[in-house]
Amino acid sequence: MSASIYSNSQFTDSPYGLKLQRTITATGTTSITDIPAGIQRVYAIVIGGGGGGGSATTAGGGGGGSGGYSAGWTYISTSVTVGAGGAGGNAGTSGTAGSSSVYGMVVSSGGGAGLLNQSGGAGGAAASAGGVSYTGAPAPATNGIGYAAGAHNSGVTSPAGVSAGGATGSTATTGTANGSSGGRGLICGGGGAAGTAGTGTGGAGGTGDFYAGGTGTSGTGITFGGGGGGAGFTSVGANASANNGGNGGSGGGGGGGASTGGTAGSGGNGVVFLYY
Amino acid sequence: MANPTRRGSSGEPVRNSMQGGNYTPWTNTHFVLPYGLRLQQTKNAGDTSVTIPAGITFVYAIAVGGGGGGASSSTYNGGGAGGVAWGWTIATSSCVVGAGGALATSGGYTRYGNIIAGGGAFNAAGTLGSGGSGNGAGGTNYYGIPGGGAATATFVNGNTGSGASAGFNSTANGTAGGNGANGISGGGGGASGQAGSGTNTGGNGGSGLVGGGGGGGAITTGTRTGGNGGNGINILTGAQTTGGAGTTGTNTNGGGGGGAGIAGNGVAASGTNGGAGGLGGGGGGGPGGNVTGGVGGAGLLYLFY
Repeated sequence: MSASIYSNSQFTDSPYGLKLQRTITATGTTSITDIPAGIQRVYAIVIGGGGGGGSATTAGGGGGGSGGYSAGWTYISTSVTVGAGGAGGNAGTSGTAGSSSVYGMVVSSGGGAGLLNQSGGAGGAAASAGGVSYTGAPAPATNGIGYAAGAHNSGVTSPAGVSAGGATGSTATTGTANGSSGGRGLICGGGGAAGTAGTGTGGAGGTGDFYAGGTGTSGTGITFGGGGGGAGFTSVGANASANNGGNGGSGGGGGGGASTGGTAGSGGNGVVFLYY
Repeated sequence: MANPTRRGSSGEPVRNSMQGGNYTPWTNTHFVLPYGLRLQQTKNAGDTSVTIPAGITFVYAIAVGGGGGGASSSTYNGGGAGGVAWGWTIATSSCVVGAGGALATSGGYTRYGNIIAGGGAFNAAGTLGSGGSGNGAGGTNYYGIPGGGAATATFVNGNTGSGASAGFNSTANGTAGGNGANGISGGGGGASGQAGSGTNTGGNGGSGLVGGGGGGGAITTGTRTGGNGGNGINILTGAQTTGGAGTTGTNTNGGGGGGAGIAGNGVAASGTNGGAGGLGGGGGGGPGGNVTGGVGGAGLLYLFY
């Protein structure tokens, strides 16, 4: 007996020619019961929620990491989970990590939380390392480029990736201080904040393939220096305001860090796309 | 009879054609080179924008990171080959294509959508499938295929992996550097660069889809022989791309050859200067003295749809 892959209509992993049929943005777990009859599998793109930025009591808080990105064929599921973005820290507290998104057997983690002065890694719960991708690409260490990049602790821009890490805040409290900017990615992390008696400038959120990150604020004194929100998959990151961080864009953008006890930006909610 | 390898119309709902019906698949059997698809765009280092025709929502991408540069002095080893990643991704209007590493610098990463490949290393472990350099391990790639473990002073040749590890740099005059290992992306050749009068021979770069740079045979007053760059494969044709040859002789010799890229041959060394890596991620060759190693080959991005 011989078999041919050409007569097996299930034997392909190609999504070529598929149409986007469903976009699910409501966070939490909801039902899906109206996939048309005859559809036995769908191709899902699943993006986790972005991490919330951190708020530093003094100096600048770190930006949150971006949500993870996974894609692939899956069986039909009657439920879908969309991860909420993590809340930004307030009055000197860390942010919270973004939540995971799931459809069928395609799953993606939320972004890491920004800490008091440290940033969050992308696509993973850990605050410093990045995440392992759904394909098996390794988790980079802090400051490492990767599929889901690590958090950031040096340099002017956080590491790039498919999902970029959050940027670190400045630890300076006097003189000129600059928060770092979020790195480039398909989805991006939030900018780091700067809180100083001198001139402080918050870092911009990372610029994505589809949307821009938010800008940081700049001025003299501790009421400036918030970091911009990172670009999400489906919208821009918000600009910072005073010493408060901007929210991450929808579709997993990381929140911007806050300086000197301000309110950091929340991570953007995740999203699930279904193609068939 | 229907063409069993045809593609469906872009944007055609699968429920009307592929699933649950007695239709044949259109574009499977691809592993690295996608079956049945056409190469539509090639993006080079520094390109940042992509225009995809309306209605194309997914494309198949092959990404190659820039090759690592060879050493400029001091270590004399070759650069690692750029990583290779492939697969389907959502279509986007922007891209990042890594430049080849300058002297003593790692190559840049290449990304399109969620397909990402690391730049070849210089004096470090590889990342995202790239080859290691200067005793460095290879990088685990996009699909999680492990990189080769680092060579040692006892086992001087590199180890195979998706990103292969580099050969070990010699620690004694008259002792050869280890060869970079073969892999999808080859490791850089180890250097032989200790002072004395013995024969110093650099290790060859590892071969694969992309080749690592050869190590330099440096400093000695005896014979200096640079390692050859590793060979590669032209992904589009299957033809071999060749690494550049190292130079040999006394005095102004000993440069390592550049590693081959997926789209170009590595450059032969010239005197003590290392050869440049080939287009598509080849690693740069190490120098035969305190001069210049070869630059890494630029990265590439192929888009099929």
